[in-house]
Amino acid sequence: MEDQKIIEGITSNNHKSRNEAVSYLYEEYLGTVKKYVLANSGNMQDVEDIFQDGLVSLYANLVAKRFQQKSSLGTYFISICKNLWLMHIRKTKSNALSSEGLISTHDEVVSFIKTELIHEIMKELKEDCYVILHDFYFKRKNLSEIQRIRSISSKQVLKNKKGRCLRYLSRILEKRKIRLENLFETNEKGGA
Amino acid sequence: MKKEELKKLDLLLDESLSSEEKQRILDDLKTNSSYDFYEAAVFALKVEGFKKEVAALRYRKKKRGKLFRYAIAASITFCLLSVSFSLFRHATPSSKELFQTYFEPYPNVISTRGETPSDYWNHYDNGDFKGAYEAFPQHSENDTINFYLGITLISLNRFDEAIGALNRLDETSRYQELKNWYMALAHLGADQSQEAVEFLKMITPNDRNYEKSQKILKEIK
Repeated sequence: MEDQKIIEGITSNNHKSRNEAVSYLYEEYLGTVKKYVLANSGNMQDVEDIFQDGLVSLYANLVAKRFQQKSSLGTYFISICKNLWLMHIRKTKSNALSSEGLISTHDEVVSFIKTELIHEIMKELKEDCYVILHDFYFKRKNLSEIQRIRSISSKQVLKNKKGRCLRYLSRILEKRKIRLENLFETNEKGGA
Repeated sequence: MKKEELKKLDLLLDESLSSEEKQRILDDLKTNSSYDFYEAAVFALKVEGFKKEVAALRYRKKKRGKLFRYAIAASITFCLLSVSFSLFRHATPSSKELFQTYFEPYPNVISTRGETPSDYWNHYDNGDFKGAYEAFPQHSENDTINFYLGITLISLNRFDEAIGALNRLDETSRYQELKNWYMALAHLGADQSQEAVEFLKMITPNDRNYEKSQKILKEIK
């Protein structure tokens, strides 16, 4: 699969296209990540966790248009996974990999998404708010569909609720001064 | 942000707009000092959604991998013991296959989590249902708890216990619609296709799993 197709698949609004692209990355790169993590004091659970976190970081970088295509998508993705693993073992087992630095992908700066921070922010939303925003902004369901599946009395009620929920979520971010760039962690050593 | 601006923000998601049109909207929105936080909010929602989707996919892959290994082991056993085909036909009933095809754990959409240990949600989000089960309160009157406990147990192939947990849901529960779907799947997993049919028939055209339920009903017939 060509890089452009994978990028379009992962960032697609279509659930099936996203899954196809992610499945392709599993087939192509799980072996490489597995080999690297196992060779550097990890186990199979670590392999799966790092690969999953790597996919989320890749998605975030693609959606935020941070991947500049200066390296191939595969190289970039592997680099994200390897750096995630290095950062993890540095946090848990200091000096375990003292001879090896973070991996560069030529001119591409590797950045990681702060999934825990995002999860923490989402927890501040009420369930009904999260569900509506998730349906609309991630699943890209239209308002009529959301109204039907969530049994909301009218489209106008839903529209107002969606607006209120998004305002509330952005106020949480504003209070904490979190803009899009603050959701990323860029390891400068990971750059060129 | 005012209503008009929120409308424009949603227009940015419209794939039919050209990049020039989007840029014009963006330039307009950027004059609002809180735009950056709205942008971060929509972005965070997408990332959280994708994370959950990937966790569910990982779980399905793991399960399929296990099934594949079981299938290989079964084939080897078959060759070695030369057991008749008819015996094996009963070992892979179609209801189990239907369960494998259609079951997906319901995504964690709970954010008011004071009532359950956070460990549970971490395990659940990561597709670690064994860990989730161990961290989960086992006897509760709370519908949310019983619903997610039911899904967790189905994920662990503990169908009878899953049916028990889902049966504890109140009749007026907001999970009622989902309950019918997951009860049907739990019965399919337990190879009880007739019971599954009863629940599938309760899924109405307005329910989100209606089309899938109709497909299963056709396949069972």
